[in-house]
Amino acid sequence: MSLSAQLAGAIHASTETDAGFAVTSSGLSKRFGGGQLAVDQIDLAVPAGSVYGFLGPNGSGKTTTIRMLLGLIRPTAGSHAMLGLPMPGRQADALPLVGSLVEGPAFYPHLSGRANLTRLDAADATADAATARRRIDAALARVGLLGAADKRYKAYSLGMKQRLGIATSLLRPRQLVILDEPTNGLDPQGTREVRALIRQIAADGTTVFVSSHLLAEVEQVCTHVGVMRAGRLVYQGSLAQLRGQAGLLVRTPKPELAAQVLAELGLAGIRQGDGADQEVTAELGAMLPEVICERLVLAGVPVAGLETPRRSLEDEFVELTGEGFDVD
Amino acid sequence: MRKLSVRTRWAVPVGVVAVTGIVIAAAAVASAAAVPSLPSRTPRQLLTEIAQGMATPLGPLTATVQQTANLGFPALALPAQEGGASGPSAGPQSVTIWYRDPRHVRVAEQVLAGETDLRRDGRTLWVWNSKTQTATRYMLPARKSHGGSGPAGGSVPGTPSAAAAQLLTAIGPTTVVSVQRNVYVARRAAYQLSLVPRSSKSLVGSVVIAIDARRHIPLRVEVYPRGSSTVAYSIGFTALSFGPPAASNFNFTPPSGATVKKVTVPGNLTSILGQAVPGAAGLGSLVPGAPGAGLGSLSFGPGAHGSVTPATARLITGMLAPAKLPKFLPALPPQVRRQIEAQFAKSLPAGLSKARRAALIKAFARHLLGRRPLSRGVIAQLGTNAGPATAAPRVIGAGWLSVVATPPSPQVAAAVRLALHGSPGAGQSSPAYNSAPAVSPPAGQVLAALPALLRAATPVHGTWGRGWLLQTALVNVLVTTKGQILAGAVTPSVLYADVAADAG
Amino acid sequence: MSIEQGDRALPQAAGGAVAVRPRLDWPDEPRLAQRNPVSAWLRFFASEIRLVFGRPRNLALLGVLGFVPVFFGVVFRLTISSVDGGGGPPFLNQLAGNGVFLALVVLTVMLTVLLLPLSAAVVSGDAIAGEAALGTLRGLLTVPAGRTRLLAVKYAAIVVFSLAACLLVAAMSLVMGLILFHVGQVTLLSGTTVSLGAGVLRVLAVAVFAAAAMASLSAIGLAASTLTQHPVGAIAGVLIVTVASEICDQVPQLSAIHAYLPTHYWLSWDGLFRSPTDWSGVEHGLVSFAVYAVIFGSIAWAKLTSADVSS
Repeated sequence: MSLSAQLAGAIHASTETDAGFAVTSSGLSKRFGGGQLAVDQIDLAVPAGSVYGFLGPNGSGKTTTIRMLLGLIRPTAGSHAMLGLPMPGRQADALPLVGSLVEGPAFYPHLSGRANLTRLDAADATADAATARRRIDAALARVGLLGAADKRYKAYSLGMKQRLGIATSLLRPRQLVILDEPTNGLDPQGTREVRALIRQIAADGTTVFVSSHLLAEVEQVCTHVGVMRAGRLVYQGSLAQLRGQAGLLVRTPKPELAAQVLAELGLAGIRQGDGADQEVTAELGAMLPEVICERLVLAGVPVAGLETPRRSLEDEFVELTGEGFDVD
Repeated sequence: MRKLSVRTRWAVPVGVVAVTGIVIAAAAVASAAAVPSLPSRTPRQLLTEIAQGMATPLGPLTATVQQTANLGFPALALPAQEGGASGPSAGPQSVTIWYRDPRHVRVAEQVLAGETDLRRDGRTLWVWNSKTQTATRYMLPARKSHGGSGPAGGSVPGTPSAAAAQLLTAIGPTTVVSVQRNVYVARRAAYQLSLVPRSSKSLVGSVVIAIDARRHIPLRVEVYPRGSSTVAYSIGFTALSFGPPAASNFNFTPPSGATVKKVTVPGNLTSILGQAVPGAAGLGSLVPGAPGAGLGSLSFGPGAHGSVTPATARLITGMLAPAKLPKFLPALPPQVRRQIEAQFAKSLPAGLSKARRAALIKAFARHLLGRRPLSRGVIAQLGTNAGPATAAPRVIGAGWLSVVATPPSPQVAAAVRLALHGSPGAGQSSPAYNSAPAVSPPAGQVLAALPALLRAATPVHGTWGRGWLLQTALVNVLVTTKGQILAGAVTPSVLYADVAADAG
Repeated sequence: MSIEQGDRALPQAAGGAVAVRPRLDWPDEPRLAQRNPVSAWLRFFASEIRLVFGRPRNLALLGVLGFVPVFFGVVFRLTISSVDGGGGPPFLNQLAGNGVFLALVVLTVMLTVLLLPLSAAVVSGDAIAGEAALGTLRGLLTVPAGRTRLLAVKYAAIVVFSLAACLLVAAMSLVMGLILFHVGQVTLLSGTTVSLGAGVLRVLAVAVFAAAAMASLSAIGLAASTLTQHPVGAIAGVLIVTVASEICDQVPQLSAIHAYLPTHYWLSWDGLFRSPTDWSGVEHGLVSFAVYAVIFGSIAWAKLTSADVSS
């Protein structure tokens, strides 16, 4: 068995023990020199294959977390693993599988876009020089910069710079792509393009970890979200689960029976109204309303009305983050 | 790759610095503390061995000799470097010596990006100066072997042997002689002989001589001031290897493009050249740069600073004595003669009229050509006590309490007044204070250094008169109002007593 | 905020509604396509060389360094008659006789008036701090270039730049010397001569020695570069160290530490122009340069590999 095959096997094995998480962390914290606690014991769990929106206001610790994940800064406490590989011990094995754009694009201004990507590819000890040209052109094509590949970076527009930054994460096939505020400073058209790019990347099966301080910009592409507030991870779960926070309201003359059926269905938070209004409320969870309705009817509950009152995601986030977004 | 803790990582540079420091310190300690184990010797045995060692011809060798002076007043203690690149310096001075026999010698003084070389190959002596790109060939007299004129026994003169020989004469009732801890000098095992003056009036605390255990030659002489453990003066080998040096060290072909001078030295000139050229008589003085470069400046013009060098002054003085007119002078190449004339013109007193000055220079030129010697009257007119006999310093006292004294000189007295008060004083015809005057060399040297000396000196007076005393760790210098200068490694009381005795 | 705690733990939700498609079967899986480490190093090194020698500022620096010998050559040619043996830089007095010495004069002048140290300081002080200031450092580290590997490649490129700068100065000086002055057998300090070829070889040895001195100074610059995010600060730091060291080297009272100063041996190649050749200055110099390079190289390594990269 070759060494490389052994290594590949090791990656498989360790990934399986982590039940398919691209990123996990436990108690990850960062206290800067000034004593300021930037990240406070966060336990990330980014499912493999997901598009994970990492949300929070500016200054809530998102970028610091991403820098810790990528080994740029040293955690004060806690541990984390990428693609099942413990960091920073297996950094050299994990990072080639991770594409990233941290805190905006940064390139040599006097070099062309292509030369900049060539430079980064050359720095990668595991990249194949023979295929470099093809891979670099493919990455440029994917972000739509092939036409401007030989222009100097300093002549690029903000959107082009941002796209070149994303291109660095596409220089080779990745298992995880971490994008820190990829839509920052982009116009609506540019934002749409980036979203399309994220969908494309995710469609290949790559896990995408994308941070933003604007829910609306990533809401449409995310399957999962984590919400940061003042250095703490205040929410983490699938977007559907967050939507599942919607309630269930059943109007019926037989509230006791209805409550019994809902309990059998496993719904949580069942509550009967105060006699007269004959209402039963519960948390909807992952259950579909039409299924609940059918079960109630089959159980002989006369359903006078069934509602799924839903708060907007925006409201949820404002509640989670306390003051809403865009607050420093 | 970030498995090590921050502390562990910083331990690496700290460790590197620590290892570097330890290696440097260990090397220093090892060389200082290394004690070769040698059969023990009494002082008497050692002295005998030295006598034997110095009587035995040394044989071919390659060596580096270093001299360090830390007297507290370097400008006075060290002869000024003439024409050298480094200028007056208190730092160590070293010369490298390639020696096959007295007739095949090379001495090189190496300074940063410069070198003065003296190569003797039989009768031919080449002096090479890289700064001026000048090669001067001296054809030495054939008759006399110059090796014989050096210190006895064919030892390398001017090496520590010479210094030790001088000091050993002081041994007697005046000195406590003892054997000290063995040392390594120039990587050779050596005994150490310590000489401590019994008289408390000597400023010398001890003189320590390192003696090669195998060849019984002095390897190093160190002088410690009384009550101090810091070496004030030392001269010794820093490298010494025996064996014939390559013949290419002795023969010399002037490079193309260099200025080449040729001088044939008659036999009776050795007394002058013996002082002026290191190696003309053996190796001459060890003090690098001083006399040898002085001759260089005679031949090639003044040093960069343009002043008259003491060695040149010495030669002119010698020439001014009619009886001593060197016969080779008329045979000098015209350029060299012109150089000497220019030096002479510079040494003339400042107050002369233009016509008088021109007449004197003309007379001197004739004198140089050997046509008509300068009359004593003319020499007197130069305003100098130029006769070497009159100004020669003499030694008062003996042993550790020897004092070098110049006779009282009105010129020095005037110079002292000038330095202290800015005027030479009433009734003095204007002697030459400014350009170094043509007084005898030691006085001339001191005169040039007088202002600096007096700045550092303190006024003193006593029954002997008044004067200024300069005190250093190893040497005290007294300048009296009468213009007498006394210097010695003695306490001031000895100097005062000598002044009084001299006057009385 | 009641949901804060309850929703922290995710695992049971992971396998739920979202289809997890872990991809571990890339054809270009890095460990399967592992590169020959030597060729990977060479590729990164070549990229760094292109970066250093492609940077407009560095090219301008080399242009200035290449022009100085031309300037000095013309100035000395015009003033050579008034040059006397006493003053001026070493070897100037031999220039009229042999143009080969122009290289020694120019190298000495450029070392002492800080032109070569300045170029070494600019390139080394910029090495890490410049990448940090641009933000490209985080890009390189997440590639991952490897911090130790990055530092090694940076230093190797700096050494090449120092060598190129010194050889350029020497070569331009030799060419100008050939054009403007007589050229022939080379007179050594000891007054003996060697052939023109041997003389040129010694001049090139001096250039390599000067490059070693600059490489050693660059290690200090590299260390300074890891300690700041401002390249100008690192460059200024190196120059301050250089000037302070040269001043200390001139103070007789500090003679005890002279031999340990970083600049002490910069001109100690004159033994190459003696007969017999005196290697002791060159040997001491190379040991001193190597010790400084190791000390400051290890400081740079300790700092860079343990630093938080927040730029």
